[in-house]
Amino acid sequence: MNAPRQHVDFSVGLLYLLLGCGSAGVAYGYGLGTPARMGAGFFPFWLGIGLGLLGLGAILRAGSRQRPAQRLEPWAWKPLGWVLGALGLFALLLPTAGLVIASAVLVLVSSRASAQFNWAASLANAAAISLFSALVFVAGLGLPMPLWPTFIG
Amino acid sequence: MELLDHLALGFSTALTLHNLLYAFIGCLLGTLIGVLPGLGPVATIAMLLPATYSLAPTSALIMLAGIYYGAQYGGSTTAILVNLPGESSSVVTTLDGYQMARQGRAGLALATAALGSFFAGTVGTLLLAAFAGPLTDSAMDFGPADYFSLMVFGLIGAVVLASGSVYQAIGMILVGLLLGMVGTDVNSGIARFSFGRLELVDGLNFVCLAMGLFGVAEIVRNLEDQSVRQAISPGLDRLWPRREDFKGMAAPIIRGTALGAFLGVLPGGGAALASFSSYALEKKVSRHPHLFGHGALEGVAGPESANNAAAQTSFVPLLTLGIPSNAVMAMMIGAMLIHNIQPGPMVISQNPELFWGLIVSMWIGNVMLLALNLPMLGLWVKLLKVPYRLMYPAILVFCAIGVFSVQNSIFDLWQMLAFGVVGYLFAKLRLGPAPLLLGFVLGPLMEENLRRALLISRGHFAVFVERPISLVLLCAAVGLVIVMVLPALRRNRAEAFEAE
Repeated sequence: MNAPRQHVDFSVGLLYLLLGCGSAGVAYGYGLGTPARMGAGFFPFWLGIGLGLLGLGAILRAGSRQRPAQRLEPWAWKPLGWVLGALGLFALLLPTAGLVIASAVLVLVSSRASAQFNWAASLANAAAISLFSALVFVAGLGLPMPLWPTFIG
Repeated sequence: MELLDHLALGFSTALTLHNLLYAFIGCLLGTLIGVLPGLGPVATIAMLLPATYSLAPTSALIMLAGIYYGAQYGGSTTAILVNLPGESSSVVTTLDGYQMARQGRAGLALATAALGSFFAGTVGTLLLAAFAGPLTDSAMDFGPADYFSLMVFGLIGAVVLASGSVYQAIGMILVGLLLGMVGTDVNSGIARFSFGRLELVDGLNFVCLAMGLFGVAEIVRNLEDQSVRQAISPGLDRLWPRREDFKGMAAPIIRGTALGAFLGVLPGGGAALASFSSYALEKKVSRHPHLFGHGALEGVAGPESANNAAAQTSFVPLLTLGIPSNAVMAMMIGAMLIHNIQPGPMVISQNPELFWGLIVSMWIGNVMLLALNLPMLGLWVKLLKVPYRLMYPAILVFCAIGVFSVQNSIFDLWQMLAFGVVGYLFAKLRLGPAPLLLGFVLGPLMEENLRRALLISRGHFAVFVERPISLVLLCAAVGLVIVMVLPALRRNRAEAFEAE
C-alpha cells in the first residue's frame, strides 16, 4: 500500500470523518435531550455520527484496495489565487472605495488568472464592466451601495 | 371543469404585460447561458436571486423558471453547432447533432431539437397542471413522520439516480444537512455552529453557498483547463423539415417526451438523466442502430424532447410537496423562501395565482423559445466567439454584486469566497455539490418534521414504520440503496454515465 494519502477515496474519507466527529462533538454540547423532546444537539449529533461512520468506511475501503485507486489531481493554485484574491479585494474595497473602483479592480486582478492575459484587453474590459454595473445595478436597479470613494462622495 | 378554471386563472396571471416581460427575460437569459458553456442554470439563478428581491413573487418565479427551461433549449444549439454541450443535459445531443451539422444538416437538427422541445414542453406543462391538484390533495394527508420519510426518500433517490459514487454523495447530503443546521435552533434559541459570529445566527446564506459552490468554484475549474474553444459555424441549410423528416422524428419525440416526463418527477431525475436514457432507448428500438453517432435524426429528437419534458415535470414534486428533486429546484425553493412563500402543498390554495400563473407561463415560455431560438441563431453563434477570458471576470463581478445586495453584507462576500474554496476542494475530491445543496435546503425541514413526529409518538421511532405512507416511502428508499449496491446494476449505471 503506497502512500494512501494520495488517493481520492482516502482523502474523502478523512474529510468526512473529521467533519462528522467535529460536528457531533460540538452538537453534543448543545444537549441531546430525549427522542420525545429533542434537544438542539439531537439531529446534528446523529448526522455527524453518520458522516463520521461513512468517512471511516471510505478510509477502510481505500486501504483494502479492491479497485484501482484514483489519484488526487494537483491544485491549480494560480487561477484559484487570482480569483479569490480579486474577490477578497472587492470585499475590502467596496465599503470605502465604492463600486466603480472595486469592480474594476475585481476584473483586472481576476483577469490575471487566465493564461491569455493581456493588459490592454483587461483594462478595456474592466472599464466596460465597471461602467455597466454602475449603470445597471446602482442607477438602474437602485441597489444601495456607494459608487465612489467616501472622500469624494 | 375545474382544470379549465385553473388554467384560465393561470392565463390571466401569466398574460399580464408585466409577467410576459419577465417570462421573456427569463427565457432569453436561459437561452444565453445555455448557449455559453461553463455557466449553468444553478449559478445563473443564484446570481439573479437578489435582483428578483424587488419583484412580485409570481414574476420572480416565472423569470427563474424561464432560465431553467430556456437553458435546455440553448444548450442544444451549442451542442449541434460547435460540438460543445452548453448544458450537461445536451451532452448526448453532441453525438448525433454535431454529426448532422457536419453533413450539412445543421438546420434540420436545430429545427428537430426545437420542435421536439416544444412538443415535450407543452405535454410536460399539461401533465404538471393535471397532476398538481390530486397530488397536492394527497399531500394534505401527510403527517410529520410521512414528510420525514418522504425527504429521506427524495434525498436517497437524488443520490442514486445522479452520477458518481453513491457513498460519497450520501456524505455530501449529510454535509449539506449539517450546514443547514447552522444558526438559531427555533425551539431552544441556541445559536448552533455560529462560533460566536453574529452574522451566522440567522444561518448560512443560501445565495452565498450556491454561488460559491457553483459559480466561483466552476470558474476556477474552467480556468484550469485552458484549451481554446473554437466556434465552427457550419453553413445553415433550410430549417424547415421535409415530410419524411417529420415522419422520422415523430415517434422518437413522443417516446422521449414520455420517458422524460416520467424521469423528471423522480428525485434526482431532471434533464440530464432523461436525455441519456432517451438516447439509450432510441438506439435500442431503432431499426438502424449503426447510424447512431453518425448523424441519426432520432438521436437528436428523442433526447432533446426528453430533457425538456423532464425540466418541466421536475416542478411537480417542488410545487406539490415542497421537495426539490435537483439542484435547480433547490434554488427555486430558495427563491420562494426569499419571498416568504413556504413551499409545499399549501402554495396551491394560498397562492393560486402564483401556482397556476407559473404553470401557464411555462407553456407561454415554450412558445417564446420556439420563436426566439430559430430566428436568433446567428446571434447565438456570434456570442460563442466572445472569449472566456473576457467573460469570466464579468461573471465574477455580477456574482459579487449579487451576493452583497442580498442583505448589504460584506460578510456574505467572504462567505461566498469561502464556499468557492470548498467547492474547488470538492471538485478535486470528485464530489458533486448538488446533493449538498439539496441537503442544505431540506435540513431544517427534516429536523422540524422529525421533532414533531417523535413528539407525537412520545419518542417511539416505530411511528415511521407504523404509518403506511411513511413505511412505503422508507421501503422505497431502502430498495433504492439495495439496488445500487448490487454489482450488476452498478455496472449498468456506470455505463449509462460513461458518456459524461
